[in-house]
Amino acid sequence: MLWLALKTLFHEKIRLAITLIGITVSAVLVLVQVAIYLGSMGNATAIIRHTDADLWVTSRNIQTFDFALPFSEEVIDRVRAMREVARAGKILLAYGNLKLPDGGLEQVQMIGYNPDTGLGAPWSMRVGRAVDVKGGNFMILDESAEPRLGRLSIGSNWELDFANKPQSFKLVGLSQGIRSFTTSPIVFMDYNALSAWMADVGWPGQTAFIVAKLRPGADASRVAAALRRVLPDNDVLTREGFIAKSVEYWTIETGLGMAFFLTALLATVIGGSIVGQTIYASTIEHLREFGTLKAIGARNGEIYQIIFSQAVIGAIAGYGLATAIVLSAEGALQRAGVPFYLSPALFGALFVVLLLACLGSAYFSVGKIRTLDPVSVFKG
Amino acid sequence: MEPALLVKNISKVYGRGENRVVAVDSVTLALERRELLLIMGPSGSGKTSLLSMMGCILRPTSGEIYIEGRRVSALSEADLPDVRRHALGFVFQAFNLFSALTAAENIELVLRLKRVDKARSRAIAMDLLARVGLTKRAHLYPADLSGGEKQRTALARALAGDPPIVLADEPTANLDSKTGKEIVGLLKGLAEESGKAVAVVSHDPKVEALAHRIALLEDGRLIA
Repeated sequence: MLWLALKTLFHEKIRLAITLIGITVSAVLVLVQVAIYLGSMGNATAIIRHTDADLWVTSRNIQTFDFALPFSEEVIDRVRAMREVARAGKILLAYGNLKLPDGGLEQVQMIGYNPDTGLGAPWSMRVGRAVDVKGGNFMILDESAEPRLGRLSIGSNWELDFANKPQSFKLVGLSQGIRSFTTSPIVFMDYNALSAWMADVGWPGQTAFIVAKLRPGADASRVAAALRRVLPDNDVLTREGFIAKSVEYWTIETGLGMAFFLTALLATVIGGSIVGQTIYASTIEHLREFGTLKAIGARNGEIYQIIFSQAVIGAIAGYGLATAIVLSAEGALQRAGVPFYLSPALFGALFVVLLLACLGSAYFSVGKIRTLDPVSVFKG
Repeated sequence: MEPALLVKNISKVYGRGENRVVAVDSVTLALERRELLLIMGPSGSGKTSLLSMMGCILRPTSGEIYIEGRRVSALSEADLPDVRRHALGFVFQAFNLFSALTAAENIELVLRLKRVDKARSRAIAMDLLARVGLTKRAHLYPADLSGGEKQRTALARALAGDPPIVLADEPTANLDSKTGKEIVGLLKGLAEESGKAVAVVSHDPKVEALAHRIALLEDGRLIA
């Protein structure tokens, strides 16, 4: 009966075009929304995911990496005192302003890391090495910041301002694909340089994160619980816990995720409704033909096959077009700085969602067939 | 030899109480092979209900239906499509062709339902279209066929899979006189040359003139 489904579908070209346009627009919208959401969440958790650490110690009640507050560096001694901790390190986070060649200022996220251990260091370098920031006022910027900051020449000097205590930093490397959720360009620098600067502005001996790598076989949740008991003024999170907390914060508490979710849901409903509406209209229009099919011996199941096949064909064709559109726009979106994450699994999962929406909508037509009296075909 | 189709004392009652309507009342009728049987009667006499029951589309309220000796009135709802698919061919007043299929494909559809493969379906469809004189119109869609061509296509479709029984409901009602005569001639040819048992519901005098036998219904009863 797939044959009849195809024949009917392609015989009504205008209806088919309307269906395909509807599904394609809806699928593009869903794909873009979900890809931007996942891209944003990827940026929000990038440093946590790329830092080789099992535990994160932060100040109390911080929700996400970007909103860290300083606390005493001495906490690291208590972390190191835990038998299960193989090594621990510190990461600093502060916000400053980068003076641009045209005299303007751009807010930047400054991350101080230990160039020897690499904890908190940029993980994808295009020019230079993460260790190059060691021993002075050296910095690494991400190439994606170039449209906002201007030409990023290796060896150029830039003035960074932090709490009205400006300092000059030399650009020694370029990372690639490392963006913050807040869209502020990230400036990677030596932990000691940033720490000394913070001391200079009145925050001596402070850090933003202590990260710990556990010995093989250690249970991160259990060690985190034990650390919480000895660090009552800090939060201790497993790597997965911190990622989940960050995602939850941006998704639920800021309402951002809900906005993405609602748009994606609406697009799915609209796509499903378009398929349902066109298939239902087609079913009503062909009711006599379906009655004839019943009269000449087709079973209900065979007629349902026609209707569901049309929904599946519509979903495959519409989603295929949407996939082609989204893939061809991916590069341009990423160059424009839009956080965008696509993967085969994402395409697969969203196809299943759209397919189910289309099949669900087609089900309304099935009800019409079930109750169709084949005697009706004898009416002239 | 048993008749191709036998209805035995069948009745069809619609509604209950004050709304009870007896559409067909205790009709016994046999349809033989090589016979063109005309079922006549005024409007509302129960002709279409009788034809629907003969075609296993409508279940009788009481009575029995036999097709080639098999008591089909006792079969479950799930088994009836198979009977319709293999033993019966239908011709409808409004042709009921599939608008998205060409004349040939309309015939192939029935054969596909009967699990005949694609190549053989196409060959049989072309052969049947040749029998009704439509070889050159095989690739056209119903919208591009005249009324007579549509009904000849429908007739060819009814013969797809070689069912022993053909049931036709007012097959000439939507046709002009000349075309109607051609269709009746084809139906009679089916009975006499192909050995089919053909039952036709009609008011058309052209059918009356060519029918081998006439069953006259009035108020659901067979009166002649």
